[in-house]
Amino acid sequence: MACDHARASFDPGAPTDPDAPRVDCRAHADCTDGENGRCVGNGHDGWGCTYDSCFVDSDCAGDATTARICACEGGSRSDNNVCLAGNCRVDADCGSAGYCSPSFGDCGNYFGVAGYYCHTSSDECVDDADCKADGTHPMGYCAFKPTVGRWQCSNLNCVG
Amino acid sequence: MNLARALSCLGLLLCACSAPIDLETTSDVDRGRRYDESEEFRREALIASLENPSNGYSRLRRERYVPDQWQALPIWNPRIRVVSEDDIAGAKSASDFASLEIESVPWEEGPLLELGRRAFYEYPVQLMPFTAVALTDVDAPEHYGLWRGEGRLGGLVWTALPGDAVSLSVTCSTCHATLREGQLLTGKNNAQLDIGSMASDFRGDAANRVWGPGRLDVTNDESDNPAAIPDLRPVRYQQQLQRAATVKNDLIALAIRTETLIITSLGETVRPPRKLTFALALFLWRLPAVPARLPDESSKAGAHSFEQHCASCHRPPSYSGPPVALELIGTDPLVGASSERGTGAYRVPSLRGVGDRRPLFASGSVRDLDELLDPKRTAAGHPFGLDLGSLQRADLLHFLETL
Repeated sequence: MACDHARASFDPGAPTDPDAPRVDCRAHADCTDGENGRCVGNGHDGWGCTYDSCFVDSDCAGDATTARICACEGGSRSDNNVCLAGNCRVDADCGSAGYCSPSFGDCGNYFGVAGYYCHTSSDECVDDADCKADGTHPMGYCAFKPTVGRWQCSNLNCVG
Repeated sequence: MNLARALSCLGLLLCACSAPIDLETTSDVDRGRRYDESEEFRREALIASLENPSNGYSRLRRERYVPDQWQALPIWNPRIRVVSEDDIAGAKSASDFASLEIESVPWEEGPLLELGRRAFYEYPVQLMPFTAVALTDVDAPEHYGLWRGEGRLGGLVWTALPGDAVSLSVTCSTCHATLREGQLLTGKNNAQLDIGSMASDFRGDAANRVWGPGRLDVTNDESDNPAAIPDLRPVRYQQQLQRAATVKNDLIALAIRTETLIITSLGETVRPPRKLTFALALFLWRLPAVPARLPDESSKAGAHSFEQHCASCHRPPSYSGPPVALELIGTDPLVGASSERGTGAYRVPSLRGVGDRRPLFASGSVRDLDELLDPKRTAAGHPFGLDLGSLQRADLLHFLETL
């Protein structure tokens, strides 16, 4: 399965003030260092170029975890294609009646979707609602845990 | 086992079951062994170390640092391989992965320090696959602030996972080591490390780039409050651990802080061996002093200004002190007010080695001591010493550089 080459091209809305901080681009035409460049951003994050990193899985020629899956429009703040970790990209990859889901990493939504993984019978949760029911994970979410190879409830915890 | 060793073991066993430990006569290694062996000792040390029992950090630990929760997690000592220059733009080798040797390390200071050093550079504390962007070409490591030295690259390690998966991971040294003039400074904060940009560039967006180099938001409080990576070299002089004074410091508190940090950073799925976390804490506790300027007439004159303007909070000989309320210090309160780690105060950092420390303040908003004492500084707060004349200010700076 291949991702298409289409991307939205709405006005990035970058400030015109030349002294505005964290503005690396102001127009899509500024983004010429990769495929399908688009200037995107907001007042909090600043503005920067985004590109399609891949169109098919084989473009993600990395190792076992960092780059297996080409996620079409999988960018966390834009519609760019990105290489992600994982062991599936569609439900059919997980066997009959199986299903494949995106997962945050241990830093939660700070670092966006970390990969796509199959659910299995050894999982301790199915979705985020399972992780808020008992109140022990007030900001909890259901995530795939590479250290144990299954989905578990998680609190957001960045190292430090 | 000889008689003396047997009696020693028996003593430890009895100690673990009943009597409070005597801090004056018990060695650090003996305390470490008790931390490893006694659930009761660990629990008491944890509770005693929490500055604000009601913040998120404390509540989570009070609830889960118990036998049937975090203590019951599987012990994790994965096979790893150190990332080196050979990994840049190249294929990794699937062979030569190995676990740290821990079981055979005796409970003796020298071997524990060596284990602590290896763990500092090689034990994975969080999986960060997105650091792959720093290995894409020869310029990438420097672009993202990864150091190179002693055959290592940025303290990254390949980590073997279930299902034949492998992930890039960070170690303590990724954030807390720096290369200077060809020498690797263990414990020194990596002020160039740009984790936010690595994450953003891996995904192709701009979301985390706002943190900037040397800073990381580690709290799940829905507030955008990245903190500057601290210099760990003076850690034994700090009265509190963490910018927000979250943990009262001592060697065992540091071991528990390290152990629970690794547990949470690995998603509460596994726990590190306690011998390893104690060895890490002991290694940090014994880090050599930061080289300081030799005293001269100017610094001796500066000592007088220090007495007047600084010493009520930064108390010798540690030059640390009790936490100071946020409203009193007046700096950016976001880190200290965090519902996750906040205490309503900031710790008073030890000034040992402060001449080689930058940036300053929890938010990292002040470049160095020069800017701290500059009356025209724009970053708010910590108004102490700003009204000095230029000569007095120079003398005080020289004094601070001798600490």
